[in-house]
Amino acid sequence: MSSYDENTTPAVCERCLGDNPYVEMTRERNGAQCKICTRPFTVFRWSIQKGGEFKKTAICLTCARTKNCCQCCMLDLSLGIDLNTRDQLLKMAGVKDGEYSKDVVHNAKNEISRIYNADQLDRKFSREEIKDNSEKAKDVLGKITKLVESGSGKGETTKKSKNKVRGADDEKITKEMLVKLLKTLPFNGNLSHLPKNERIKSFFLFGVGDETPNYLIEEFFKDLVKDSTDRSERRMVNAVFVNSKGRFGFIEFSSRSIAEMAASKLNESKSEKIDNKPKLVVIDRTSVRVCWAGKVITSGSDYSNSELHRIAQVVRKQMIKLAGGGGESTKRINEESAAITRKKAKVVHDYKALQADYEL
Amino acid sequence: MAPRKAARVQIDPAAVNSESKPQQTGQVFNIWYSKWTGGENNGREGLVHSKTRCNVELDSGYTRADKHVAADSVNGDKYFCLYFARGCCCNGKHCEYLHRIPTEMDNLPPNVDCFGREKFMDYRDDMAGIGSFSKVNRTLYVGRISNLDGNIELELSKNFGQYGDIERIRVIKSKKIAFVTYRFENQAQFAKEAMYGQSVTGDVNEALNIRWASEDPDPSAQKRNKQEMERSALKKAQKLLEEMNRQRLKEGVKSVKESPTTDHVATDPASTNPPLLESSPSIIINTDSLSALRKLKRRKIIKKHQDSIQTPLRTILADYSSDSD
Repeated sequence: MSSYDENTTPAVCERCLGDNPYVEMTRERNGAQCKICTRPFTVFRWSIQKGGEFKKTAICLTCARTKNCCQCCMLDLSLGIDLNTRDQLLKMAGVKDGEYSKDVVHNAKNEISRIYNADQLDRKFSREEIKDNSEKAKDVLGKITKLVESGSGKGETTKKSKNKVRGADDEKITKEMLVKLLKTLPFNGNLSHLPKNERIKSFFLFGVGDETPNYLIEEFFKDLVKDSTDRSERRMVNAVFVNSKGRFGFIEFSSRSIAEMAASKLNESKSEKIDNKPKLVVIDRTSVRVCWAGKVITSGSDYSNSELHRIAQVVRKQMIKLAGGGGESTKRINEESAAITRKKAKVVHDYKALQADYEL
Repeated sequence: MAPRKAARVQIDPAAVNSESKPQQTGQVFNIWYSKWTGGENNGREGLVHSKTRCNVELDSGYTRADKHVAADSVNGDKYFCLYFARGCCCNGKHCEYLHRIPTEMDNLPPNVDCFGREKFMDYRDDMAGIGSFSKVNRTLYVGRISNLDGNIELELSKNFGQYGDIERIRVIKSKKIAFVTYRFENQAQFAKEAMYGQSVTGDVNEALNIRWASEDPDPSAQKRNKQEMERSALKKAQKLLEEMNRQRLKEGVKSVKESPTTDHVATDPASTNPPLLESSPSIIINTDSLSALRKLKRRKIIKKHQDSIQTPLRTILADYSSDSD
């Protein structure tokens, strides 16, 4: 049982306490079980506004003290951020476990061990004075500031390195295999010729980075058609799906007219003159080729892992081929292949300049 | 920008009567949870297709909760309407909760979900329910998909995309399940309620079972998650520091402005200075600016209070604000 002390006051942050300095609280001894250590603890209830909803403490004082968090909202008491983020930041800043907060109770999986650990901590805390955590926190904050300052550059590099293409070893792709794939995945499609089938309102994308989230693709196309669409259609993009292993995906627009508009917008943008190729766009720092989808839109889960692996290879080859085959300058080929294979940081840096060209 | 519209009443209150109870599966009806208890299965009826569904485009709008809130301010204390998510709120614009989908600007406490329900330390054994506060989970498990023909990913994207920004979707056809990852945890919480018992294709016999996803065992996914966590933590830290800087500047400016007036009011000249140097976490988070004068008054009282009770309310940012003076 959490030790009960007549003088206990809750450890609650100022945001939870509200503006009124004369907070009225009710105190209930052993009113609930602590959400972390499962021992009963003293529950305090109060409300910020008169007649407003009540706030109450959800974890015991011992647990709150170990984690240095508010008993009510469980945000860090000194930094005001949530504990998951704080712990992550501390890990990144290289602060050792237990230096800032001690998390033994939390780590125990077993309920009995949690209670035991909490009791031990209780005993320990009763011996030592309540220290002002501000010195430590200031130190931590300084470290975090340093981390953020250095981290912005670091984040870029991690982002780049993870776009590696897996399975660079070339397996032979049989002709039948290729034919089968091309039936459903139009790697040689284009955006300039409208498909006759009026029901087709989707684009096929390939070369999509395996980290690119769907919403970025959606946003890219939404931005494209944003200003020119009729207001009646709120939701312009119906659905997006990307298969990260096969590095391909589809985007479905809400109507044919919007799809046509997006196609014409993409065609307008200055780039290659040759029209019968998939259009090159840059989404999330990855070059992506876009063209009209065929009649059938296959789902990624139709393919087995090895098939997806092959598709990824085809995608890579096709990207290189398209970049080189169109009579473009050799520089662009280099950039393109570098973007895909990600071998040299310098070329990738050059490639970034290319991005501006395609920004619409 | 589209004009603000009032939230729509999703179901007619008159249509709710004693007959709209669920089918009797137990002995006692609990009106609070609208569920049967007792009997053979303890009232459990299994998963049935939901009668109502939230149509975000038609139904969302302002309610009492956000009527006077500026458009681009951070929401830290208003919760979303659970009935709206389930498609059965009969209050419309008179509802005390938000009738819209969560966005980036909703920064709610980490120990409750977006509907204000308290989270727990651990997940339930079946991974259903409100979830855990010890892990940020943005991925939902989707089970009982009846029809996997055609492009199921696009269908899922169409359905789940209504309730938030989807980061990725993964379908495992052999097990008839899917995993949907959202951009924000709030959106996953909302979608979990909104899609529970719904169907992907509009089939009445289909009722999706939505739960929290447990950790992806795939090493590449774990690596990706780790990187994502690091990135988001950095972003949050950046925001925090920016907010602190802005606050410090504001405090600095205000202290110059306010000091002559407070001298008139305050009888104790010593008390005007030290409180200003103290900055608190509430200020960092709180975006609606409290007036400096109000803060001063409050601090004076709290200061005395604090000394007597010595709670860990004191904060660290003390010396950070001093250099601006």
